[in-house]
Amino acid sequence: MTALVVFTHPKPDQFARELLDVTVAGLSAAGHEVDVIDLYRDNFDAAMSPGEWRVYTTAEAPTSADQQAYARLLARAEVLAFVFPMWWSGPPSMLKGFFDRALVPGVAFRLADNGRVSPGLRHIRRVVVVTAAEPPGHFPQRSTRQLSHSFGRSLRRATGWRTRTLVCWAGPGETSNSEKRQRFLARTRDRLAGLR
Amino acid sequence: MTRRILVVHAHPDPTSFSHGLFDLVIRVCGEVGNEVRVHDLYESGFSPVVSANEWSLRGAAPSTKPHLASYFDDVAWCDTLVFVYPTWWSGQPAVLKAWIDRVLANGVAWNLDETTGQVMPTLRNVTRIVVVTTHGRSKSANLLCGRAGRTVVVRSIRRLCSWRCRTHWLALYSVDRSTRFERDRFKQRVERILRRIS
Repeated sequence: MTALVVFTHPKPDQFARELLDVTVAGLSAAGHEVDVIDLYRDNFDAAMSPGEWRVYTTAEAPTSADQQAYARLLARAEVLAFVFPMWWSGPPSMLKGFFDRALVPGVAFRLADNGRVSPGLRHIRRVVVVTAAEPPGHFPQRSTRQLSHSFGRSLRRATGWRTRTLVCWAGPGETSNSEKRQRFLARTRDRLAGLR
Repeated sequence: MTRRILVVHAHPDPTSFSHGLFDLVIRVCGEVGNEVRVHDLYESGFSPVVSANEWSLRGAAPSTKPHLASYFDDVAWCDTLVFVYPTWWSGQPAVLKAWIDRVLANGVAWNLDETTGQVMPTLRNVTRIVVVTTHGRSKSANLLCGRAGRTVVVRSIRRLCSWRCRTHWLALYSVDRSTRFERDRFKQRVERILRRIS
């Protein structure tokens, strides 16, 4: 079984790196082979270009090399995990670019002539979100629910209705207090290790 | 009352419906004697990501980021923010999210109080936020998915603006299946709201 981890951080400090490490360790312990996409290291272009937009509107498979490389990784994943800091109560623009450009028709879903959308990633059984409050500048309110809605429910369009979402959210206390932080990391690792 | 309006737009295709809405917004805002400034993010080649360098300057003063100085000036100048964009994956396109991540920075949209650790809003000059957006999916599907893009604007950004700031959310749902009549009616609605607030 394969898990795909999409990691986003412009300059991974200690905590961001630890979040990635526990995610990979937890998923490995659950028996998954883990692929990691580091969007910043890949120098991913987050903006959909005019040419790609035209391909998108024709509902054909993407033509750019990086889109196709990510499509191959997505095609073999059973678990899709996202590790990122929260900025302005949402994912960083880099990760939003991954949604815009990598999860396109022909990969994430298929558009029928009558406008119906059918999922293209039904093999993804689980979506995992591991994220931390990045104070200051945004004001997370009911963040866990917000995240499970915006990731889990939106993504079900691509993964089908049976996919379940696991959100591991480190609040402001856990990002600043080292004791709470260690507890959060250990808990996250255990939750992911128990993922079936 | 004339207003100082900053219009922020992100769509890759200049022939798209969203770009048509952007043209309409500029025309209507300009007609009634308002001052209008425009950030057309695709046209200006705005970088869609926060660079490692910008990230390390996240707590620093705006003057440390001279490449964004004109964007900072426009945000401090305006009293009305208008966003025109298509909703993709229930949020703003990456380029517009990058504008929010990069331009609404420390010292521009908020200041951090060193002693209490509290965020002090500095967008008090903004008294109106207007969002003009199109959704591929229906309104009920959007409600189910939690409307992440709306949260970013109506909760996070709105909180930094004037305490009497009002938001206008103008959305056209199921745009892929919409008829010309529905699109025209939506344009009329956008025009009506913009005239009313000017």
